[in-house]
Amino acid sequence: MLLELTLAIPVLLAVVAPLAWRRLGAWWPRVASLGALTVFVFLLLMLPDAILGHPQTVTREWMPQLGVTFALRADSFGIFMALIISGIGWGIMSYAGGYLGKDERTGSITGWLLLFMAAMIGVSVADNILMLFVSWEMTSFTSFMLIGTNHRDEESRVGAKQALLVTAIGGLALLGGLVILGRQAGTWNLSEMPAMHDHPFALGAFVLICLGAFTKSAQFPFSFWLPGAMRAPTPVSAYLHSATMVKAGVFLLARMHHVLGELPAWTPTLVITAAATMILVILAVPRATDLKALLAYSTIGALAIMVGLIGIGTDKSMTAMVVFLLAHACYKGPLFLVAGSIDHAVHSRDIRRLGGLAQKMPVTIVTGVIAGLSMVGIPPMLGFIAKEYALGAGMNYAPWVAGLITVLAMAFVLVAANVILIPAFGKKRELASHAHEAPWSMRVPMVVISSLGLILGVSPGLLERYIVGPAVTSLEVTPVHLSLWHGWNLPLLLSTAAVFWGGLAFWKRTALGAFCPALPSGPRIFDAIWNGTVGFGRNVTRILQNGSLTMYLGTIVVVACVLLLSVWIIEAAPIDVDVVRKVPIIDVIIAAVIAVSAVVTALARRRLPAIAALGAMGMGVTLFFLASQAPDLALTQFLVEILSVVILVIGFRHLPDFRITKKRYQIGRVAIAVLVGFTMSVMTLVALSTDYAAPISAWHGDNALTKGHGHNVVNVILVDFRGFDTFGEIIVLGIAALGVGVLVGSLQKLRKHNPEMLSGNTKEPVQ
Amino acid sequence: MKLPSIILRVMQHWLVPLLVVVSLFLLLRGHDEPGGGFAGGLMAAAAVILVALAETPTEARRLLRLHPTTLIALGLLVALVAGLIGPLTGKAFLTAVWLKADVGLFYFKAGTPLLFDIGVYLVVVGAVSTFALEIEEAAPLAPDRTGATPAKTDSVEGGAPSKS
Repeated sequence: MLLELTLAIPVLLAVVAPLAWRRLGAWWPRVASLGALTVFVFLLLMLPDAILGHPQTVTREWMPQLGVTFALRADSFGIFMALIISGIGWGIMSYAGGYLGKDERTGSITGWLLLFMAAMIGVSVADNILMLFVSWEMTSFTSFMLIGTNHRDEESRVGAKQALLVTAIGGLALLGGLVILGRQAGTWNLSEMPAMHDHPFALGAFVLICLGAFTKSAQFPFSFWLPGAMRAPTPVSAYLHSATMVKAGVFLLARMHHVLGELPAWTPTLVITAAATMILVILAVPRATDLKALLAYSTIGALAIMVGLIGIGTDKSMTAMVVFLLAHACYKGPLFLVAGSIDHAVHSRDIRRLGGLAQKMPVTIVTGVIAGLSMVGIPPMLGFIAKEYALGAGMNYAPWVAGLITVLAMAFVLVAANVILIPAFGKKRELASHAHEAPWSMRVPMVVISSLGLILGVSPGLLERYIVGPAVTSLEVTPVHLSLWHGWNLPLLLSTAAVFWGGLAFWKRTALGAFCPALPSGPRIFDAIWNGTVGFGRNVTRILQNGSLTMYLGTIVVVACVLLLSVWIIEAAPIDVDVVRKVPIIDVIIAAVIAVSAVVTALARRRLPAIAALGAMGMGVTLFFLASQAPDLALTQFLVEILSVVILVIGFRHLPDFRITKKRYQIGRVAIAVLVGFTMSVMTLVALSTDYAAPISAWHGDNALTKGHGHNVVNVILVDFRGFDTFGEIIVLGIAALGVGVLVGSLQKLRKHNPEMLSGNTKEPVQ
Repeated sequence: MKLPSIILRVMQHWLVPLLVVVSLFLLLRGHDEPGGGFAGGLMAAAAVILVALAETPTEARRLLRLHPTTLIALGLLVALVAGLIGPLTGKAFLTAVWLKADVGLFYFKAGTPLLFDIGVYLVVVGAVSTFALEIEEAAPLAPDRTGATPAKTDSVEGGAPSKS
């Protein structure tokens, strides 16, 4: 029951959010944060069961045919993740209330945030992998809505689009990977999934799942969407794009470790991707000047460390990954909130314009310093433990990995100094004069979350016993012992060196920034691909849709004929000549009438003779139906022919008089007509010569009266046996009528307002 | 626009009621004899077009009473309702439900397929009337027939304006 409520509470709150915001005003964010806190408490209540090894589960049928079950399982790692999500969520809701103030979008933003929270908890506690996928996609979608909150701003829209496209492409790959896993393992539940590494399809599934995880967690080469997502309001960036959503990829890889971890490709793939991402971050940080961009790059770096640790996959590295995940949430979330508070107070996030805020915003700055120390990895912060274990695990795998992490830690020092020291103690700028401390609703979450990093850092026993240990165990890995201090060793030396060199880099930051090469910008590459695709589409459209109806019809018809004929030739479908001999004499006479009309139609040089001859041809078909004893078809055909002729003639009134003057146009038309005639004859003969299956017409005839209560078999088929088809057809008919109405209407409007568009020889299609 | 032929106008008074009655006849008998909603609807639309050509499109709209688009919507609604009666009795969407009574000489039957066919009829009348009336009512695209500013809708292949 508790488990369902953890999902139901945020969803319900999200649904009422816009209305509640209008009714409750400033109270609404408090209610929302209380909701998140309730979820947090519920999760804590479920923790003991999970630690003891019998986690709470929920199983409901959803789409049993597809193997989709609403299956939840709150094991320790899931609860660990969900606790981070709901805990940070509590802080974000409260903070957003103060940050957005009376902004009219507060209702919808908090609503999407709550929905995101539910989706993210869904990812954490889902047992059925398709359920996990649905939640995963939901997080991408809510992220898109939240980045694009400021939808009047071009860059916000671009950022939202990039984030959605990249994560959605990854999501599709992930779906493929999960389906392979589920089908081959014979179970859709994570908890029942065996180790699959020696299965022949395991490598394919692994590659697809990696694509999903790397796009979500902004790993190389998909890192670029994360800085673009920084256009979102700061509470959103803090929540989705640092503390929780981007960790979904890491979370998924950790979950997959016991299934695919033994695969030979596992370690190299993850470690090399992580290393490439780290190098990217190290090169990008010295040049960045925007507070949020700096934090975004360091987030990508931290995610890379976690991916690398999962790749190494030893007991020590998995433990280090879980500690790092927690530590990162506890410092990066508050750092974003601090950046948001500074932005809120002085309306700038550019470190070249910030400085001297320490006296004006003491609480914010102190919080920032605490979080920053954790990020730098100074004892006794949680960040220190995380970094020590990460370095140790990296060293055990390969010295170069530890070296790379050390350089990355240096970059983190630079980021922390840039984000906190410059705005706080830098030279006082004019912006600082009207700075003010953030309201309580913003200060409390920052202080609480960042001090968690300190409290957990000084109590590694508590951490090991109740939080990290059980979480690591539920990943089917043995946790290693945690302690704050373990003597003078190489990781400590590397860590100290990182702090020292990082400080030096901060001191010489201008020179360093000039030294670092400008990277080929990810968004620019994305734009190039995007514009290329759109441009290609536009060119194809220009060629295919050049405004000439004759060309449209000709293209469609010729392509269809060529395709059909090529199938006929390739398949060498036989034609039984006997079917032609069995044709009765009356049919031959009617066919002659039809053929003569067809020739007249094709040779006609003006519209009216053509349409009259076409009508005659239709009448021939009507006769044919009559001769074949199908009065219903004949009646309908007859009416359709009359009405088409009438409507076409009405339409011609609007067109300038028209006559084919050039011989070659005439030849082209006749050639197309002959091609179509030939193709259709061949197709008909092939169809008549082959018995694929017993025809179903007999069934319809036998059952029309008994089951359909009608003597007219055609009508019974239309309104009863195939009623669903008819329903679709009348919908299409209605849409076509609406289309005609709209086209004629817009033409009238166009003629009234800018007639020159109709008179010119416009090659461009009219928009 | 030149006046329609007087013969057409006179005949119209006789033909239109006949067409409408026949169209309803076709619709109702459709389940057992040739006809049905589609054929009936086309016949009714023919009546509407006849009025539009013999008199004016406005007159034709008056005959319809409802806007053609409303007719389409109404038809789709009727068809949908006919389809939803099945689920009400616990069967799949669009499953036929029949009421039958055999009272002496008089044999009566009614079912959701007939209702569905009425929906088809309405959609067809609405759609075909829309095609004809919208195009008929639109002012001619090239009022100047000598081709001073001809709209080149499908005459890119060098259709020369004629002097007819």
